[in-house]
Amino acid sequence: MWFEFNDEELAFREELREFLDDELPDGWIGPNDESSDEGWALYKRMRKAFADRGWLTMTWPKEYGGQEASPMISLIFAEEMSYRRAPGNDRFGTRMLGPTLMHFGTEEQKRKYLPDIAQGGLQWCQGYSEPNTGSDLASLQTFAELRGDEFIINGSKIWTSLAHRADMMFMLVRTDREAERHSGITFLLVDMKSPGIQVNPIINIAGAHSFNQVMFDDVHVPIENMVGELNDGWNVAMNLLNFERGNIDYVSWAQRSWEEIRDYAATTRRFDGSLIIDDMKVRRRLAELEAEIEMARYITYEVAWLQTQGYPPSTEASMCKIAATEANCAVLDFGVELLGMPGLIDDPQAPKTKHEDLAGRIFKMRMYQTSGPILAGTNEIQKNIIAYRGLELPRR
Amino acid sequence: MDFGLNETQELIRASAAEFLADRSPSDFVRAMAEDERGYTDDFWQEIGELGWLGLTIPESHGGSGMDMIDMSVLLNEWGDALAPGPLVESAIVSAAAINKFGSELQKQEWLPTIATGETIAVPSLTGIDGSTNPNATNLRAAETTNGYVLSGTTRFVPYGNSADLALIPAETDAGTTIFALPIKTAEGTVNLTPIKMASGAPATDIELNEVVVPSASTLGNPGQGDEVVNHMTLHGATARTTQMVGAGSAVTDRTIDYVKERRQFGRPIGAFQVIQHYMADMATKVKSAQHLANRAAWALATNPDSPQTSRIVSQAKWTANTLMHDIVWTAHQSHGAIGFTWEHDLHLYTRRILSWRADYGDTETHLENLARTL
Repeated sequence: MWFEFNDEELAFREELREFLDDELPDGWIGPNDESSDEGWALYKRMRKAFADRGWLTMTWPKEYGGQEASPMISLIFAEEMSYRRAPGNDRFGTRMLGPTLMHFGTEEQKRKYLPDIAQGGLQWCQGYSEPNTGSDLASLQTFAELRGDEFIINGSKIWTSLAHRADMMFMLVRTDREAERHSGITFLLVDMKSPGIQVNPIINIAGAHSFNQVMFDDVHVPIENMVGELNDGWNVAMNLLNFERGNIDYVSWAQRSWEEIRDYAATTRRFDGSLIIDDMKVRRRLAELEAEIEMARYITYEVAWLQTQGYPPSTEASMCKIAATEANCAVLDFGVELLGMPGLIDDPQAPKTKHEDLAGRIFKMRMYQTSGPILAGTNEIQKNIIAYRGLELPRR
Repeated sequence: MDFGLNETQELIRASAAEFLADRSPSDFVRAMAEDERGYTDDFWQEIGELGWLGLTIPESHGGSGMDMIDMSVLLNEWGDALAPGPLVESAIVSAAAINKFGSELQKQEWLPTIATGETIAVPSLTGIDGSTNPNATNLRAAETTNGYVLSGTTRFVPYGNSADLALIPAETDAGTTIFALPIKTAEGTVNLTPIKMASGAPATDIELNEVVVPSASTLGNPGQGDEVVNHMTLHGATARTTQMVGAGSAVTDRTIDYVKERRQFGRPIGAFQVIQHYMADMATKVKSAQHLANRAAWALATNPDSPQTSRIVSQAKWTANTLMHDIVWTAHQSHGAIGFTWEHDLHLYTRRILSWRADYGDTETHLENLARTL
């Protein structure tokens, strides 16, 4: 048992900090608004800068252009990036598709896509959810008919983040309607410029265009874009989910927001002249939230540590997803209330004081973070996973 | 970062689990809760022979010179088994205070026999008002030409009726001072009133009347009491936290076993999602508290005097107090009526977890510490 980063890890964090100081726009507070063209341009510029240093894929094996860095270094990268609210940490290509292709991809797929992902090239998006398929992913209905050496896809995917920016999508399609439902699914790579694809924007509750519905109307996909075996896509996707569950982002976001709220309280006087932070009720709530962040942080660290030991995390990953997303929401909830009416100004053009700016950002982040406990397996699904896989409770 | 046990720690864990399963089953725990002293000499002698009482005592004074990280591995099992006896009070809290603040003479006199179990040393950290404020004391130590005369009462001293040595805070002209008082041989009137406690660990009210002690019996300098108390509280809070997490983990395991077996509506109640989510929450809470408890032991082992360590310990105790409390009541709700019986073992855990929350700083005290030092 040891609760400190080693020298190599600390040195990396320092190097990354200096790099971010140089690369991020002056006075950067974030988060980046990737629904705007400027925000997207910044994302791409940063992603390329990280790729040039090999940071996006540093945990990858050397044969695929990685550095075989430890999962702990990768955790520090994500922790620091999220703390700075820095854009450019592409999760779809580097954290999700890349490891999947290494495991299940053909030699040609590996050659074609892995170096490109490592270089920060194509933008990927993930096509899993459908209008009638949320938590029950195996119920998906978008159908791909294998005709000769092509699949013909019909159906639709929804809540697809970045579909409007993406060059490619990795997706799950049904390829056998008769088989047991987990056994008739295939994992495909699809060019977003294919004829028959239509991307319809969905505006989220924060007022931003972050996700979409993607319609597929007789979309042709060559058979060489299939990852893994025909009808074995569920197996491919479940492995991918294991790569997806690094939840340090939420911990770091919570930490940063917590610090902003604390600093506001420490520098702002109430009408009676007293500093807000001198109110013991405020201090106590801040202390409770700080402890909640630390609880989530150490489960997250444990997940990374388990990976350094060669153990695939399962229930720990679900536990940290729940703890981290809940802590993050709780911090923002407290912020929205403490910062008061100025956070509720709903006019992006209105000139704002520093207080109003912070309040507005916290409110907007709270709106965004509604998605935290929902996406990548709702927290209720995570509890089911803990109950079934970890605690071996009966299903019926 | 390392979330694993090293070879020595794994050995401690395995031998503790095996020994306590054999020697501290629930009928023993129950019998000891009814016993006036709360443990037996035989049991204590065995614990001493296993080397557990001297784990963190330096080798130069008869211990094995390990640290709080190693000790926390034992404490986790100790809490899991609800093992009785003054491990925390004597071998951790008192030993830590004597080791840090004691004179060489005091160390030589007490540490080797604490390590064997021949000496039971106990701290008095409960205020006269029953709170966890050790400064709430009416004990006065009047200075004489070659020593002090102590009078007053200290309450709820754990295992005080078995103690050979009590570490007692008293007010002197120099401020709060800790006295290492050999209460069985003290010169003057010492009245002990044992009190049966819900935790199963008996407490004792100690009344001192004109007890004469030499100057050399202060632990640390006169007026250094707050510092000694703080050192004891940090160790006690960390130890109790780890013990609580061990007990909470046992409660969670037992509850999971129960909901797999208990059938209603034609299926195990563990097949109902609401129960499954209770169990997932309990397991997540154990995990959360466990990491922060281990981190507190690590902080105490590596950097005991840092203000940051005080925060880390408070964070761990607040977390364990809060989460193990949730776990206990969720366990009761999941057990239903059977858990409400004297016969069922669940209440053994409930009583201890609720009692331990109050020890070495209650929930509010630790939250205040965190809030004040944000």
